[in-house]
Amino acid sequence: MIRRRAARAAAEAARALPADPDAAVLLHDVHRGYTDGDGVVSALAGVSLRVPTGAFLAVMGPSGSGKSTLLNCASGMDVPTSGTVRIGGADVGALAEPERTLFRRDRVGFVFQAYNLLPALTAEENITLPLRLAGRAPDREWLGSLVERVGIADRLRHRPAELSGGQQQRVAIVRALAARPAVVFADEPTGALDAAGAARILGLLREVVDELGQTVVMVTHDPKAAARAHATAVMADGRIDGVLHSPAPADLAAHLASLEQARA
Amino acid sequence: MPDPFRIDTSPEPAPAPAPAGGGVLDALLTAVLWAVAAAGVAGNVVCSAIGAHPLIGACFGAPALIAIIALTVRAVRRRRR
Repeated sequence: MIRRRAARAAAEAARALPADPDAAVLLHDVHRGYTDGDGVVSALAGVSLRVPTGAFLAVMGPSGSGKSTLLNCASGMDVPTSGTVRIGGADVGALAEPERTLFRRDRVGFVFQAYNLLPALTAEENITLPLRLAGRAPDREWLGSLVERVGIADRLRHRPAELSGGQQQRVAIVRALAARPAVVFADEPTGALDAAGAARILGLLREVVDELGQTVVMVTHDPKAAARAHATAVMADGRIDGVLHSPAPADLAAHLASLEQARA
Repeated sequence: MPDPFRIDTSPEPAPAPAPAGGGVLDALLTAVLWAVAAAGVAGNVVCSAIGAHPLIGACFGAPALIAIIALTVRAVRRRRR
């Protein structure tokens, strides 16, 4: 019943939002509440955000500010309590669960901190697995250009355990891009890497944005990582506190420190 | 220059026409099913009360049963959505 009400509210909100063909992701007045023992906790409290096609957006904020919930709602992994989420013009909140799963598989790419590669499969099999599950033939030319670009062409027959962390993340990035998704969501993609590996992955993400026109939304704790994006949305208490354009890492760190201070 | 990361919520210049009456048809079908179910149940009760031939009772009962099943299926499918 609650889900039906939420879906109806999402559909009504979607009708009120004008079409925006140049936006890869649109969130309008998104709320997400969770129930715990003490009542309802508001993880997102009216988030509105537009990610233009071909943009690289970082999302930062103190722990518990709603970054992961934003990523989950924006990617269609979770459904907002109210508000509108559009990916490539499609109203994700209005999709029923099986259709939403198929939508994510076909239109959304994910890169996780822990890579999430299947250990029993080779790098190549991991990359093509989502396509094979979708019953689609891999575009060999596209995949070939991607693996050349990220520098793992000679590692395709290796299993994840035989690859370094950076190589595994590069495999995960190719897997995310293989289906030419509308947007790639990255959750702390450099969290498990050393400084050099992180710099290479961030350079790679920026490259796929600048050269392939891919849209990337990345959650990170690292101001240096966020500084590689076109803009950084800073979250606090379930809201977007501000969107900073091409900020310096020091400015981001200072902004976050001021938020932490305000909360203390 | 407007911020590309902010949503412009100003109304569209030419709003699209309202979608074709899929919702109206759906509501109409639901109303018809409820009407058939109610009439069928009432007819069946009356037939039983006056001791009419069972076949006459079945003429009311069968459509009522079908309508109730259809309403249940629709409700479950809508819930899943």
